[in-house]
Amino acid sequence: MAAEVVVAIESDADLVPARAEARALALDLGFSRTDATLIATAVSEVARNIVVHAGRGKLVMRAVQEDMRYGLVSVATDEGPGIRDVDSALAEGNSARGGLGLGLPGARRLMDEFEVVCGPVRGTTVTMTKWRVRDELERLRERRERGG
Amino acid sequence: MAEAEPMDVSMAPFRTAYALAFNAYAGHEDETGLLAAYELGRDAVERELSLLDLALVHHQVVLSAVGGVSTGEDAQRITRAAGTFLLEALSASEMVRRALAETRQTIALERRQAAMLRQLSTLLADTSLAVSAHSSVEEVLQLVAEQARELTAAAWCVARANSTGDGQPQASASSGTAPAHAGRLALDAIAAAEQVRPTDVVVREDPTASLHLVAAPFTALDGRPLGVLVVARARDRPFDGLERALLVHIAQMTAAGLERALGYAG
Repeated sequence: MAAEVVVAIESDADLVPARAEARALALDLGFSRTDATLIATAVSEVARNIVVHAGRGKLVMRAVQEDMRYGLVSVATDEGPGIRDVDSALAEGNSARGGLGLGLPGARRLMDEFEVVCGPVRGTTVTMTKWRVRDELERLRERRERGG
Repeated sequence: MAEAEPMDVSMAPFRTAYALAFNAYAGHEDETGLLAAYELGRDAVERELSLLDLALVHHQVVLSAVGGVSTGEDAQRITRAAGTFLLEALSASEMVRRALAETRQTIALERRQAAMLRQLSTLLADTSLAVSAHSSVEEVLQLVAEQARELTAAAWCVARANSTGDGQPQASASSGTAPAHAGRLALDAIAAAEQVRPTDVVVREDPTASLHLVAAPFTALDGRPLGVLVVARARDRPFDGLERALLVHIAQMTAAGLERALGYAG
């Protein structure tokens, strides 16, 4: 499993590698097909947001492991104009798509953790995480593999 | 090839686009094809197409694709691709479904808040009436204990005043049945609550007795502690943020009523 995956986002075409890397990382982490699809979808929406509002940016994805769970963390950054009112932007009815629940609000609902931070002048960072619980059998198996 | 079922003609362009995208995906099974599926699903959401229509289009397209191959292996490949393609096409709808669930939760919370506000208004009116009628401090406390227990859905509520204003040191009233060991925990909470700000609460839990307790102070305008309001219920249902805020409101209203009542008594 790669420690970290970086995807440059400069056009709609970059949604393909962004989704592919997100899906591959999710499946490597043992997420279900359904969850891997939702992760790819959330990454799609965030990458699309970069293309539409900032023109260019990047996506950095990595796996995190805690005692009881695995996580996939995605950090999307751009140097665009930023978001004036983050709370409103993430609330239902404020999506650029007419309040249908797509865009950043949609991505937020698919992930377990979601944070948007804007720079003092410009730039936006969207950090989102999805978690998967490691069951007892899985932890036992891993301990055995490590020889512990 | 299977005969197409009768369908709304307005769906024809969507069906054509879906067929093109699916057949391309079935040939390569790559992320480009899955993105196309996702975009179709997104388009369906934006155009407010029915999920039933989307499902029917998918079914017809897959049926047509399977009908066009000659080996079982190819049929299996197409069927497998159909599952993955459909997952992607429906994922935009999943965002909308979750938005609807969130909206329902918000509405339920707002209704609960509105109901609590109406009850608070009633309590304010009743307390003012009691004070205006020169009811005793005990009667005011009894009214508050009953209303606070009902408003917070507590099992037990105690309202205690530090002074009745006529030389008696304390008065208290309770409503509901005190859970086991609640008395000891309440005394501890009362002592702590007299030290906190009027807008704060004290929380106590007793895991062995499975008890959750919250106390809010009655504080005079000049900062004197006038008493404490305590609510308790089972630990598996702790008082949430809304209920704690409500308790603070009740305590503040009661403090104002108590000051007036003590003024009458004094």
